[in-house]
Amino acid sequence: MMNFEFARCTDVADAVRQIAAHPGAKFIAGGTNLIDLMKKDVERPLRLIDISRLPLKAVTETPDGGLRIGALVPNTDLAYHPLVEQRYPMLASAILAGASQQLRNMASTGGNLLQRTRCYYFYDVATPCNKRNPAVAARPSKGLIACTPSSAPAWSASRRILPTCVWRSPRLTPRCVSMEAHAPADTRTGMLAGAGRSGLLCLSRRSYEQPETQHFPLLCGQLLAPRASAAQPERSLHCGTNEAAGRRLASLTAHPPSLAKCAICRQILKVRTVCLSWACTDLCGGR
Amino acid sequence: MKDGAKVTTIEGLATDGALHPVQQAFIDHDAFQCGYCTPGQICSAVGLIAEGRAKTAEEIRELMSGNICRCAAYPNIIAAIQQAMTVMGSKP
Repeated sequence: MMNFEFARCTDVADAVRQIAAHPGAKFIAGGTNLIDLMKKDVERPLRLIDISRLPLKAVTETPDGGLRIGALVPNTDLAYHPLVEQRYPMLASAILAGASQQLRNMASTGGNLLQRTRCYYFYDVATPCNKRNPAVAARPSKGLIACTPSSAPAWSASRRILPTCVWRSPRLTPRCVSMEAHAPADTRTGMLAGAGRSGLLCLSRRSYEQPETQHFPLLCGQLLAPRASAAQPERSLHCGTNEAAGRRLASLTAHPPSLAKCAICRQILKVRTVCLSWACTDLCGGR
Repeated sequence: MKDGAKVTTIEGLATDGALHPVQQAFIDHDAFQCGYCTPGQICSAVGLIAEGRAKTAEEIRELMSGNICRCAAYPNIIAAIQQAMTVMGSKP
């Protein structure tokens, strides 16, 4: 591992000042992603700015009935938080499906959302990879989803999350799309699916030709019946067996989903931990 | 990052020469072979019991899954942790 400097910061404003003053510096919170990447020589920060002691570890309710989550809330604390268990059971389940308890105890919510791809090629610096340094390789034609050489993954770059920002507190809205279930399908169109608190499995589409994100409410691959909007398929998918979930979902669509589709939906929702719809409105600083 | 934090290692578990219940349970159940992973397994088990979330064998396996044992002493490790939980009164 290369040598690097290490510094703490006194508050969020100080963190932003420090990272702006030191080119090549990176924030470190839990370190469960960045340290690995430094060992593999994928990341070579000249300076680490430790934000792990900043007071960003609270989960609070928002007036609209959502949750505001401090960026430094550990994965474990978030998964076991009573309000998350009660209102976002699929999110709690997805967090606990990732990594191991030891890692979840260390990993921060903000870092979880910003962690880089797990692709083996990305981790092997002997192989070319357009995620490792997209500024020099395979940049998309119009650059909309092009990621700068930063810690921000492609989708967050497109959501204007800048690498020099401290991401203070993601929010869960009452009707949020809560999980990424599909990586960008190709270099031109981003297709993302997620499960919502409102009970919708939602497919979102974003393309260079049509940069506004379009949402298509789906359930088990089919358009959701209008009358299902008040129901809670997230809970249906979360609880019991595939058969039981299928029976509960059947009332929400014109054509009941097959057991296989039901199982796939449950798997998709459980496996992927990344949250899409933390509203990115609470950024501080940045270039 | 952890400067100033209090850290307990395997050496800090015994008190006045008396083994910690988890250490004793690992001996009772022969929960190791080569011993390479044992300090980590025991410290994780102590943490797991302190957190109090795991009650069943399946939950213990899940929360211990970050600790790899190349000798595959897993069944004995689970049995040892269950014994320690009983001894320490953390099982309902």
